[in-house]
Amino acid sequence: MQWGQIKSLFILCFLVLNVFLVFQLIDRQEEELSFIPEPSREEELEFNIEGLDDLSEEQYEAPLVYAQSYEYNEVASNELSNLPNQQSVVINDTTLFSRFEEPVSMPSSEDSEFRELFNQMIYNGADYSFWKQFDQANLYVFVQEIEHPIFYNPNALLFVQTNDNGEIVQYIQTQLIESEEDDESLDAQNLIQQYDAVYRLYHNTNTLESGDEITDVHLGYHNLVSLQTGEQLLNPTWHIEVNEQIDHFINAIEGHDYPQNEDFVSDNMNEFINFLTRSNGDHTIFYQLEDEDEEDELIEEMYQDWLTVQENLTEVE
Amino acid sequence: MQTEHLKSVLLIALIVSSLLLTLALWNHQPDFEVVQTEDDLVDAQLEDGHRLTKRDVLSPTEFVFHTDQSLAPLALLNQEREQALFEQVQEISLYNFSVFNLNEEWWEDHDNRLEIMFPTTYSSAVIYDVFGIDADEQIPTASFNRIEIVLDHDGFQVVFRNDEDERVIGASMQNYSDEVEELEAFMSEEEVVSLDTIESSRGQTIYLPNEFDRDVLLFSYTEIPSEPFQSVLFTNPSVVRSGYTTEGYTNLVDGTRELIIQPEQISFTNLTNEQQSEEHELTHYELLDQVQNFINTHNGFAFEEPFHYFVSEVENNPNSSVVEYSMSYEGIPIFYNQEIASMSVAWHNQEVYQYERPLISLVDYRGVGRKASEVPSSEDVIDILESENYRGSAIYDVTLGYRVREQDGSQGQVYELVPSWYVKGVHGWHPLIIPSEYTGGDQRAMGAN
Repeated sequence: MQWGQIKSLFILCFLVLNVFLVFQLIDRQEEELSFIPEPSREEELEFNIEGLDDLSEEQYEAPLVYAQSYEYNEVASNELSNLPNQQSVVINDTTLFSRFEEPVSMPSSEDSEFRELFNQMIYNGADYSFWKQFDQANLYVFVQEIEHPIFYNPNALLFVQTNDNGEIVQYIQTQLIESEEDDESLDAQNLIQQYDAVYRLYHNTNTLESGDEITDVHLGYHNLVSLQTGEQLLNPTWHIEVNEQIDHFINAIEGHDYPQNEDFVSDNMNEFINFLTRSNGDHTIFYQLEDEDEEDELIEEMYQDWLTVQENLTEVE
Repeated sequence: MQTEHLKSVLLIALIVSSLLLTLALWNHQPDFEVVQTEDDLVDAQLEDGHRLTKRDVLSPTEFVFHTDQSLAPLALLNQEREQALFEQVQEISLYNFSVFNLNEEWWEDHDNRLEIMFPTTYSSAVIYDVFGIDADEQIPTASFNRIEIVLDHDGFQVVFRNDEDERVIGASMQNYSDEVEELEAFMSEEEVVSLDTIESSRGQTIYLPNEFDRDVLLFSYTEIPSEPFQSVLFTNPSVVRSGYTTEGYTNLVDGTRELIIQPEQISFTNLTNEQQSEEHELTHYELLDQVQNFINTHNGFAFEEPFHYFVSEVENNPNSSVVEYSMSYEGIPIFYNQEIASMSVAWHNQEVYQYERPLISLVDYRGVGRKASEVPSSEDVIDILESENYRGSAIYDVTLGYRVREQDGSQGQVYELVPSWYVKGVHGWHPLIIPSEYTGGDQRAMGAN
């Protein structure tokens, strides 16, 4: 064969080889980018959970809040002496029990009406928002707000008891006060978005089921552990309401979920009733009583009524 | 001629390009960014801490040599030498793993064997780590707390067994006769003591040395700084607030996590991680692996040789997943006092839930303080275990170890290691409760647990 023909043959072979190599190289590059088609975790969430369209896409910010229990006897004794139509006792400096001399009619369930009434009748009462109602126990539970509601915090509560006519008979109040600190660590922080909170609730906990609907998401504060002095650090937290019934909480900075706290109200009711049995301690002051004889009577009345609430509460549960 | 010239140029170009393309294919690497793992981001570490592999922390507590030349089983008099023996055992190459049943009678008929006992039960997956076995080798799934090296049997040369049942894993040894010779040579060079025996609640034999060193050893210590733990355990250490507990210990909180710093130990709890989710259920091996990584990430094993840490308990059930490491001195376990001698990690949902660890590390050996004459002999221990005090209690094993504590009158400057008997029951290892008639009125030595 002529050298010219051999060259042609080689040219043909190398051409085929080069075309093959180029295809191989292209194939490899594409291989790494192709995925086996499967529903993404977002799609899985959107497929199974309803109500995601109503979530806000806003980028929220909120600071951590450093707070401690309000010591009524030290800072608010004047105000407590002037609260209308009620006799009160502060036990352990931080827990206020108050009883109306004449029951006060309870407004409808509008939050603004509660606030208006509480503003007049209860010390810093406008800072509390409605949380839950236990009809069979005649109990309304309100939680304190520092910009946002503070969830499941025994030191930021308002328990209101009504009689069978729906009038307020007495209440128990605890309160947190923000510590004034000039500390950079308490600057506003970027929070995870509402969608991310629901995403974490769905994927990281086993609590949502297919078909569940997210009915409300709003911001609040949560604290699980306090210093023994009562000082606590409140973490911004998303409250996610599911099917208008079940409450879930997701830390709005770190994204972890908080444990369910189903017995919170009855546990704290128990604790408050125990407080009443210790009303002769050093840190107890009565307000608006005419003489000391009335003290035992007031405590006894409060004790009996709250005990009834507690018994009904346990039955309901 | 012109065409031929062009063809030559074309051919050379094609040859060169095919070479280049081949090279490109050969060296082609995926061009993805490497995602930083969470471990890389954690930079806080203990300066004087160590990282340990699983092989480092899976250490036995007892070695028993059964031989037809001696009526009673034997152990090494010098317990430190057990470590060297175990290192020799770890070098053995194993293959051909299989699972079958062997009952107690079989063991009684086989007199020539080396029995190596571990403080707790492990899953068979750790055999890969302990013996450095290739991942290709299949090891059946089972659990074990003893390794038996059978010195005169052709079939089962190494057996991994559990005192809870008869199911065992057998394996063959490379160079069986050479390895056996080496082990026998090792034993023949060492001083040995004979062992007394008592039956465990599971019908197995428990061995107690009838001769042991009663020296109480003295040590100075160094403090482990607590500051790095704030960075390790809190996501945002700058928001952490501190106060004091009613006992006067420093207490740090960030609203969801709590760290209590005591003089000798710290205890941390992440309250959001209390409940275990079924989705995150781990195998025994995964639990051990993740906890080990967690401690290694912050160089958490703080000790000075010849002290060391070993895994003394692995609890893995739906309510609680805990790995506990205890300290050892020259391979001898120190189960108490736990504040100084043990680290424990409760691991829920692939994250730490609770972490307790000592804040001191024993360092310089300061000599022998005294003889612990109050430590009962093996005969007395058997009497105590058979007495009313232990009736109805589960006794799975008994071992001789050390108990560490502050030396009386040293104003916290010196710690002592006192030889102590430990009993393994339902809740792990606890000091033997010694009735006053055995201590000669000196109850200080080992109180009730």
